[in-house]
Amino acid sequence: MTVFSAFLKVIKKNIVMIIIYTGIVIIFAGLNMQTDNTNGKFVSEKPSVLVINNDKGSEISNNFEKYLEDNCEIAEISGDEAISDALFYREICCVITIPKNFGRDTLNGKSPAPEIRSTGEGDAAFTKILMSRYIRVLNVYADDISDEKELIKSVNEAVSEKAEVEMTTKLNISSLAKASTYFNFAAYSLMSCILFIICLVLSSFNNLMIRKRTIVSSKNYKKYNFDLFMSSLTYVLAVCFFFAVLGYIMIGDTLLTVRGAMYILNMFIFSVTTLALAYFLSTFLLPKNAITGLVNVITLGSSFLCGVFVPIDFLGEGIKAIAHIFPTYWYIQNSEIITTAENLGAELPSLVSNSLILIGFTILFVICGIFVSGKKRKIA
Amino acid sequence: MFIHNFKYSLLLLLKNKQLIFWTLAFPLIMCVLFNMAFSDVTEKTGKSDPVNIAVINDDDFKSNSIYKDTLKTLGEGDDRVFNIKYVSSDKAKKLLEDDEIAGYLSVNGDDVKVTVNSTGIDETIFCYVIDEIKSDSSVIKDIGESKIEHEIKNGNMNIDYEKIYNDVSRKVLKSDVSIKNNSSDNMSDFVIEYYSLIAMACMYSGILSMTLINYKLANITSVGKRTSISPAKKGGMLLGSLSAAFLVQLFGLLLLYLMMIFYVGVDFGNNLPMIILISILGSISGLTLGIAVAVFFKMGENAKTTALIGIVMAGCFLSGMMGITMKNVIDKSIPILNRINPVAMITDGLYALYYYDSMDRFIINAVSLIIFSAVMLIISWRGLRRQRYDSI
Repeated sequence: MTVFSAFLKVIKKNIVMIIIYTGIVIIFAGLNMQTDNTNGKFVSEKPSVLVINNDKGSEISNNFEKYLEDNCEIAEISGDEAISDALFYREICCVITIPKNFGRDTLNGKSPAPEIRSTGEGDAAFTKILMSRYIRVLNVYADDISDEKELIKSVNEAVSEKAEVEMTTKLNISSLAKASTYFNFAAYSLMSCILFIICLVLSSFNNLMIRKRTIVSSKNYKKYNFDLFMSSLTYVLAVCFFFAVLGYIMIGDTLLTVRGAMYILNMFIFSVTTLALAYFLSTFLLPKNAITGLVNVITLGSSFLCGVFVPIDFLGEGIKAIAHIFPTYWYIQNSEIITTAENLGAELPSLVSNSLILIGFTILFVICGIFVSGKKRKIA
Repeated sequence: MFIHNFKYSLLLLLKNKQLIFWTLAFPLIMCVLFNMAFSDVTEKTGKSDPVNIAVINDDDFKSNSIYKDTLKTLGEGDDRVFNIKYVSSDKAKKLLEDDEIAGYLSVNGDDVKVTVNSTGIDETIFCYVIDEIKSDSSVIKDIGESKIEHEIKNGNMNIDYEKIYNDVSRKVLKSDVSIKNNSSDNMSDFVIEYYSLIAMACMYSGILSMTLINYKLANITSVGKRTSISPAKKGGMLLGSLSAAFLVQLFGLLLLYLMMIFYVGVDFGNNLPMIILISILGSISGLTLGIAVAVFFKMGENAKTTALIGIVMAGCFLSGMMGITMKNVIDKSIPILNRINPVAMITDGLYALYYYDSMDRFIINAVSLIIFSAVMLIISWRGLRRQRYDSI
């Protein structure tokens, strides 16, 4: 109990740090979870655009605007600076300007060009495809039809043609994407909370003077180590439980399914590996400030390189190869499999092998920790 | 007294490994990590890659000239929309299962079907292009029929149907669409990550000033006790110490800039004097924040360092270091948060230099940093003045 009390004291002292890291995961995950349910039905990805119609009086221009409204998410932003910021930060992918006299020039066969300011990325290219489709049909019909209403009717009929779309997946993609976002980002916060606290606690207990006092005390050595281990494990379990409850609040019922249980199990295995890493780091008897630096480098470094902050598919092959040396990579791999696997049973071997690698890391860290602490004891 | 304090403060800072780590090494390590993580991301998101699709190459598809010709055009050239594989039905299913394609197309007479596995942007582009071909096909049919009707009305009974359809097809499929592109060249949002890293490095100068101020506080160090009772002018001593911290900080920033410009190739725009100005103001803000933390946080030296690092990291998070959109979200939803966040002010100042032609936004950020530093200094000065000890 003495050991556990000391443990709680260190946690209490560093509660601000824990709150900061937990707050970060709540804000980040919360912001990335605002998508709708699709439940196995194909719903077009609608690019977010801003439309500036400078030809409000024309029915042709208004119909073009309506076509864009039907096929895109229309953003409501006013002010030049706010629009420029929204474009830079990818809140919108394009600013489409319908020029003055667009309708009249179309009827006169002048083929007027709308203006576009874009990010130049995939969704902007898609918006251009959308615009091109409408404008081509409009210009082609405008050569043969001079009546505005008839022209609009023909254009609308042509652009409403849709091919049949079949979606093979039966997964609730958006809901699983939310869970994936949450659990991927949780790796950073979880690792920070566990490494920081456990390293501080174990370093305090490993302090030479305290260690000497413990050795000469009446407390059984095995009982002391067992208490220390149980206290650490209790803390890890508490953190895992807290993140699971937080996940349920943010994601909802998805966490009560088999996939949800697997996300939590994956998180628990990763937490135990992190605990072992904390044990290993604490054996170096580093000063407290050095621990802060080391924990920051390890957590941020592995998060950037293993797909926590940046989707793993976007990372280069060389970086992915380097990422294999971090436990975070295997945790993210499992998370991705749980998110995307149509049939979890078929992917079970991959999930188990990734988990075994995490357990392998745990054993490696413990062995290295025992080796280093043995060396340090001899030096002492 | 100024020179004496400057010299010994400099020695003290340079001999402290922990300080050297946070102010010099940590930003450089982060810069290397950013470069490793983002070098491929900027390539992959900076341009729209062709979408991988498959087409079931059966007799129905081969006999449908509109789909065949249009897809052939869309799959050719450097700016092609699709990478197309012409395969059997089974092979198409296998490719989709293995995630090698976004979807596949099957043609059955006039009916076309797109099969996809997800609802991403690639799948949407695929579906829309097929919709577009379908509507082109409908336009060709519609205009062709009206032209034939027109010929019949005019009493022409020798109608060349094929010629009419070919003419209309050519007109529809080859007609150029003109869209005026007014996009800016400076659209790389990943520069924000690097700008927030510079902002972080500026704010870590707080650790330097905090360490030096701790040496002036009687309740923290023995040196502080001696300094407090000495007749030396506190203002001169503080100025000497802070100048040393500022010099070390500038050296760290110089290293970071050199690394970003020559190793990573970060684009800072063309306004070097303003970049230097915002870095100096940012560093001063960091120094003053460090003084405030040293004065107002009644805790040990280690706890103060942890608290300062926590404050800076939270500021970095809000200014977009761990997710670029975060800064914009905070700017829009809780603007006051980034108005008082010096990390966001520095990041936004550098962003304004990179993205905007006008200097207005940069000036607002520069002035905000000056106000932040002044507020930190005033409250720290008031805090320092009040310190009286009956017993330590």
